[in-house]
Amino acid sequence: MSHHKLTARDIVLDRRDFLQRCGMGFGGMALGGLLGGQASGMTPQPHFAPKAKRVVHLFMNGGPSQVDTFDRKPKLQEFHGKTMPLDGLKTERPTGAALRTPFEFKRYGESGLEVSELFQHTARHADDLCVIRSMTADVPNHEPSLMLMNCGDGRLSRPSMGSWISYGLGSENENLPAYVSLCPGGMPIKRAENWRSAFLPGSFQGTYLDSSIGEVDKMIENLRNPLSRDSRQARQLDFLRKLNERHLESHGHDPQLEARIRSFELAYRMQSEATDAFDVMKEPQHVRDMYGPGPFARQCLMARRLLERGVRFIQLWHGNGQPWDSHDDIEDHRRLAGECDQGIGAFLSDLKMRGLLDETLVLWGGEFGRTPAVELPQAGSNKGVMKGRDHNHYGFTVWMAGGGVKGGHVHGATDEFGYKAVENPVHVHDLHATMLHLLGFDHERLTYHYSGRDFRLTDVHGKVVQDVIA
Amino acid sequence: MRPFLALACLFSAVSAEEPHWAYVPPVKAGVPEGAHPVDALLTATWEQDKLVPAPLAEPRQWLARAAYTLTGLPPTDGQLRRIESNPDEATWAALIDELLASPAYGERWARHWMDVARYADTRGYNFDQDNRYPFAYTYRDWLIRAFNEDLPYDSFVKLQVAADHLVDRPDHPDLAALGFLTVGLRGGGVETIDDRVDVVTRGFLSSTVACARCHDHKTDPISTEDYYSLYSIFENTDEPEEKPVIGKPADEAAFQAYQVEVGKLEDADRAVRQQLVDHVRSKEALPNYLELAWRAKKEDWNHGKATSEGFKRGRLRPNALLRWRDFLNEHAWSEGASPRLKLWAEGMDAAADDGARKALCEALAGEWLGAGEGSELAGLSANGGCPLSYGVDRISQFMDVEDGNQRRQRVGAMSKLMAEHPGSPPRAMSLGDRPEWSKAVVFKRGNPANRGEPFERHWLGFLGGGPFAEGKSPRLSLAEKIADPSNPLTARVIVNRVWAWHFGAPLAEPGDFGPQTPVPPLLSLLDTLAVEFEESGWSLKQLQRRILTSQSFRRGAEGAAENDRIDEANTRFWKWNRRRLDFESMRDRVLAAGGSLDIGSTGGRSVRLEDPAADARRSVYAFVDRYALPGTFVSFDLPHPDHHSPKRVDTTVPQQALYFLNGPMVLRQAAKLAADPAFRDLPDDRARVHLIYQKLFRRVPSDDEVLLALDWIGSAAPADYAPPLGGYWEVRHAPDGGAPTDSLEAFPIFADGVWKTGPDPATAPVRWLNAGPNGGHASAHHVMVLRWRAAGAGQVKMSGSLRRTQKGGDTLAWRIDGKGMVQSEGQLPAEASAEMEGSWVTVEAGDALDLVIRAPQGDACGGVAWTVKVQGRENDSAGLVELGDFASQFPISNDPPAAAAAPDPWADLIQMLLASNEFHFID
Repeated sequence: MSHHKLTARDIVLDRRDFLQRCGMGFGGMALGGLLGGQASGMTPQPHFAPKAKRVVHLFMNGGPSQVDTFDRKPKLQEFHGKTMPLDGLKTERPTGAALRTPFEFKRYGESGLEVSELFQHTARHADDLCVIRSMTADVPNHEPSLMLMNCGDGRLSRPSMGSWISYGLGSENENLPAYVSLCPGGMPIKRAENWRSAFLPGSFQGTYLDSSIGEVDKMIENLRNPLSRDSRQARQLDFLRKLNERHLESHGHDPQLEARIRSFELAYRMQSEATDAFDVMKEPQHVRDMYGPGPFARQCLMARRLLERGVRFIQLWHGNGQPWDSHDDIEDHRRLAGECDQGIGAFLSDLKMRGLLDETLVLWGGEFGRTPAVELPQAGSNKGVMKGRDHNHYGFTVWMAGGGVKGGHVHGATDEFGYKAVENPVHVHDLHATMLHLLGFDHERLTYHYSGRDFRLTDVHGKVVQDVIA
Repeated sequence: MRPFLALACLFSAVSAEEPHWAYVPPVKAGVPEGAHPVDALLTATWEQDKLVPAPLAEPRQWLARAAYTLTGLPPTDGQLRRIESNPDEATWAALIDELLASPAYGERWARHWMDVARYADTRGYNFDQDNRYPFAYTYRDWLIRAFNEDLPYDSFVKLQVAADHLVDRPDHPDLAALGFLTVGLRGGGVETIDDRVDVVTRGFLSSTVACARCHDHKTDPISTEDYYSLYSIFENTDEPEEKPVIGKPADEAAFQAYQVEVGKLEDADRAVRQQLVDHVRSKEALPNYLELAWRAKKEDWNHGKATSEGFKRGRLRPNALLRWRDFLNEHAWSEGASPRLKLWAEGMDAAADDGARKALCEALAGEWLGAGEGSELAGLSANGGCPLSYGVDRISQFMDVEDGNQRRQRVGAMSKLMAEHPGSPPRAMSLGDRPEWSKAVVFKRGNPANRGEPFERHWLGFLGGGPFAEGKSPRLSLAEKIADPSNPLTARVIVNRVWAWHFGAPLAEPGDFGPQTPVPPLLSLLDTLAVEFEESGWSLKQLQRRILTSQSFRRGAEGAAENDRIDEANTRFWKWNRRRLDFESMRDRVLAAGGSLDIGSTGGRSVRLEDPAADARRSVYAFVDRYALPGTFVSFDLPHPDHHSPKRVDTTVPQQALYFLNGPMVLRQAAKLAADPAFRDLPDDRARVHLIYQKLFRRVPSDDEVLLALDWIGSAAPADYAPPLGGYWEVRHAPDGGAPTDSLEAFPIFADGVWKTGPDPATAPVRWLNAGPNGGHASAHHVMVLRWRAAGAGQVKMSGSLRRTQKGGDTLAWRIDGKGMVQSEGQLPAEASAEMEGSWVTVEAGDALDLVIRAPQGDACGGVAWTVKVQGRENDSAGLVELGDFASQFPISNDPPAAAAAPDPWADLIQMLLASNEFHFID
């Protein structure tokens, strides 16, 4: 890499050229780095060759039930309506007898992975899925569990996984944010805390976009001035460049000034590139048909367009609040899966077709799972229906695909009812350690010095789950 | 539950043979008589390191630096003239004094301290509750006042930690200082206390005491007992449920109105509580409570069971049910039980079935509710443990989840009122000590469930330790220990911060004065200023006078190139650190340039910056939502207020540029300046360029600059500034002459959602004629015209559909005219519908497209429903857009809408000058 120093006259570079010269990612990294100050020293390098370069987290917020999706439990059907012989596992609310799943399971693919009818589209990729049936978290409450899954700590204000990964890897596209969080029609509970950068620099925070908004220029703050015209703005920028060049020449070609000049060039391009990236109407009809209708499918398609453009970490939330929180009636899972399954299946097919799946790590799951036991009615919290399930952090399922994980593989198991992880339990910290490993990082060494000590995503925990790595 | 996370400090310990520099009291360095200590000490280090100091900058730059770093605002023209005509020490000192005396000074420095104090106007996640701190602003205003009055720093410290022990009356305005402790993130009990330990120790002492939460600090001499000594101080505090009022709203009438509203909410809350009292005492509920209480005892119910069983009986409140069980346990089953209850209990036990038990309970309930004064049962009702004794004051204890949800809504309404009503008086976010102090204990490995032995609370060991004084609040003692002149850290820490806020770089790492931070190269300068600071009576303004009067503050930003090999990072301050304006100064400068900023009013509630009305307010008054920090704050490096921030990160990202390319505030200010009559009415463009440079940069533009601007204005493409293609609707009518006509009349009446010619269409001058957004009625031999009038140039086409809404009747006719020419027409017989489409027509502003509806056969035609749209594009290469939709843009006035301000090349030019580097960097 040459150490050519940028000057105002070199400003109009193409992106690849710029990245080769500067070897940096988006935002603070890219331009902070030009300053030659602390910012450039912040970029850690991967510790070993990464298997995955990008992450897509399909977040089923609210907590999808494992026994109704990817963890079949015949014993549960047998015990339906009876008390299960279990030690009293305490969850958030009172629960009672076993509640069988109303959904049919089938075996899929060469691996014969068992998946319920809820995820039949996803199941077409059974041989790509690495299902972890022995996930555990710390408490049966949404807020701390969301924080744990996203930020590695249930209580303290810590940076999110996406922030750590953006910090670690930067972005491949300086015209787009490195870390994007999409949620249709609102935000999950805990809102922006789910994608916060905490004490990491603000440029590593996830950029939240409401994917239900049709007009792209309303999704990103200040992306467009609807009253202006391209030709008019181009002329404005030309004038600005002339002003700034004069200023730069009389100010010793200070790299800070150069960086700011360059940021306007980037911003100008970002206007069209970001608009383009999020505009799924640019996809041919047959591709849109493959993903199917609805906001989640739309998000999946956006995610693919963003991956192609080098966005590092994309989180797709199911929806506003906590949609998967089926306390009252587990049948609601049918509607929820119906809203996302086709999109997820199409997304996996599409990534595969385009050769993107190998280097994209896809994670599907919620903040926890649900109880095999039925939830008992309570005033104010349940409509008095006895068909739902409570939160369950003792055992739940997530799956990963692509990005260096084994396909058609099952890791760990819950007890015979699907309540508690009993075989090879994987705590959320272990999941994080494993994901960082796949991205080329030793989770104990991806650190940031703050307030007198080095912090990391996994704090003092985490063990890489070697068994899931291909 | 997994064990609590252990916080690890992952460093190897450093040897501590010599005492750590920051734990030794500062001493003044020897400086030649009459020399300025900053200059003398810096000169010494430059000589030693062979650094050549940069020459002095232009005097106008000194002033800009002083103005921005002291007040966050640009200097005035008068101030600039003074320093340029008399760049001597006396003028310079006088200008510094003037800036220090400006109210804007407190606003600027309060904002700096708000980073330290992790200020926010919200508490973080609060489930579905209002998460605002409605009175955080009183802390911010207290800071502004404290800085403006040059409150001695030791008092500044003490009031923020223990104002409640230092004021002499419960409504003292200084109570607002406690916001320092209380405006943090609420992460649950333990985390909230930890946050307070952290903000106090890092804020005042730059010490990472919170690192010792789980084990002794790995690198610093800080023990868990140090941490838990402080922890226990904040653990033993309470925040009053009703925050103390510390002033009166300026508007007395608003205050009265506020009190009326408060009264209404309190009455509503009381009414709900009364209903719950009535429920518990009702003849419907009581038998059920008694029966289930009996079962709860027999079957040993827990709360969950009580909830679900109570729910089946029409939502008995589980807490009331369990209270009944406990009460009956004492008075029906125990020894010395009440005879009547004992009788009931025996009956229940002996009863054959549910029916019999139900009868027993109904009998007892009836008797109880009718019990006369002095009777046995009436006596039991009066017992404080009996649910029947619970009145409105205590009934909240029986609320279930649903009651709680509703109650929270009422509480939410109250806090909304307090937060928003103009008559809501200011209150302090105060706290106070608990009456009984619990002992300090260490939570082993940070786990509150794993408590060590109690120990005696003490002052930080690495600063001398020792128990806190007897007979005094330990929190007050803590405050005094921090502010004690013998504390080696306090003065150094603030002097270092003040230096960094002026010079853009600190003398020592502001985040950590522990042993991890080696001896700063300019320690003697830091120490000299720290000692002087204490000697001056802890006067920040005096310290700033000292710093700003140095020559070092006035060095140029360009220095000798050979220095770069020795000290490229400029740690020895041999040149000025050129830097971008921070967010607040940047925004304030744009608003000041646009003439929008009101710098006369200090203090008040926080404002949301996206609201155009906030353009009048300085950025320090921004509403800071830590739960959903505005994207602009994130883009411009505001530190996240969940944590204390020792310094801001400085990034350059495209989002900042987008803010200047497309951000509404910048566009508003540029347009406002360009539309200012004082600017518009100037005799020529050259004068206009001069005026802009004067307003934005407070200088005269060079000839080149004038030419550049004039060239740019002169070469603006008219097409770029043509009003965007758009239009508006008119509803008109005229006698039907069979051909397009321009002599149309406006309707005289708009009522009931339609345009018509008289109040009752049946008797109106033009009978039946009326038009609403989605349909209307034609009139014989008359035309009704739905006209779209272009407000810009381009190609447009009208289309739509018609449908008869009633059966039978005369045939109607329609026609689409473009610029007075018939484009298409058709008939609309009874019960028919029609699709209509005009042809493309090129229009200029003012041209019209008309949908004409006629009733040539007569007006026995019934209603007609319509949709009318106009699509268009500015030119062949532009995309098609929908410009007009009659229903959604239905006009309710006959006047044309106010024209949007036409785009103006001057506004565009001003916008770019606002975006330019010259505007953003202090030299």
